[in-house]
Amino acid sequence: MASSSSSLPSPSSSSSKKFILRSSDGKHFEVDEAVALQSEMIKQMVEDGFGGDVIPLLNVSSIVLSKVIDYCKKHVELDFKKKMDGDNEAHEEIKNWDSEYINVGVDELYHLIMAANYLHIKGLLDLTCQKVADIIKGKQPEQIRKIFNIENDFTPEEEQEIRKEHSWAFE
Amino acid sequence: MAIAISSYPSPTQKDSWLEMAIEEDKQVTALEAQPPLHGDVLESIPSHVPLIDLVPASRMSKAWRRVVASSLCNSPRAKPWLFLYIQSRRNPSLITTHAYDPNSQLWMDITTHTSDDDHVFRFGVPTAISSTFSLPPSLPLI
Repeated sequence: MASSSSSLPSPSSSSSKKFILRSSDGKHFEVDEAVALQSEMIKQMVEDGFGGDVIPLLNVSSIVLSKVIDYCKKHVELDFKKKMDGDNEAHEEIKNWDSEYINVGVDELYHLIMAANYLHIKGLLDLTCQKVADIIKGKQPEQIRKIFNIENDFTPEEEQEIRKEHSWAFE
Repeated sequence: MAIAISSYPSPTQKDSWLEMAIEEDKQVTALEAQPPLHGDVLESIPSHVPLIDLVPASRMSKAWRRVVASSLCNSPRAKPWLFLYIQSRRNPSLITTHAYDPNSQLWMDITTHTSDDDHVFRFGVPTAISSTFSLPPSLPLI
């Protein structure tokens, strides 16, 4: 698990530059440059001269990081394919792969969304936020609070006010 | 940081497991130890939520209410609602109003009130949501 760069086929040649990412629990992941640079945060670090050594990712555990790297690898691969095969086919494949990828439990979704935000991976952040939105769709506030562990911090008076405003929802 | 991802059921069971968790009135266990979504992350969510579902979302907590409000003020929704006014052929004064929200892919029947508060629409949602309700005038209906 620690070094998982060679298991998937990559469009970039094996001689391309590698980066080593270190998770919060101290595991090392060797990834291709193109994969690492999917993260705007890493890109910024590299531009600021952190490229040579191990890149420490203090907020991402190895379990989550490995899942995030899967996403970045696949998207590098699919972006490459998009250039070769044309837009439509690749677009469909990305859509299918993403929807399979994001079919996870709420806990895993939570960690992915935090990691995507921390690492500034826009595609993954959009995907995870969309998943949260899909979970919210058609549900009552009480159900949503339970799923995402949200505390109802409205005072009884405020709640009363909101009830008036949204009286339809209680009918 | 210990994460109990491995304790989840297989992917095919996840949806039914989630539904089950809601129905049985149980907390989704793994998330209890985590702080709720907040800050930047929370702010990026409302723009993905269809307008119609922002109403329950805004009632969850103060933080959610704030981000829903700021999302409505700051970012124009990607797709506006389509409104249809249909005049009956048999009775020309009989006009029905329908709205389509492309984000939720939902058609709604609308009856307007002409009483004291003429900004309040009443929506009858035929599909996903079965209740009749009104939206506060602050929501940008196109």
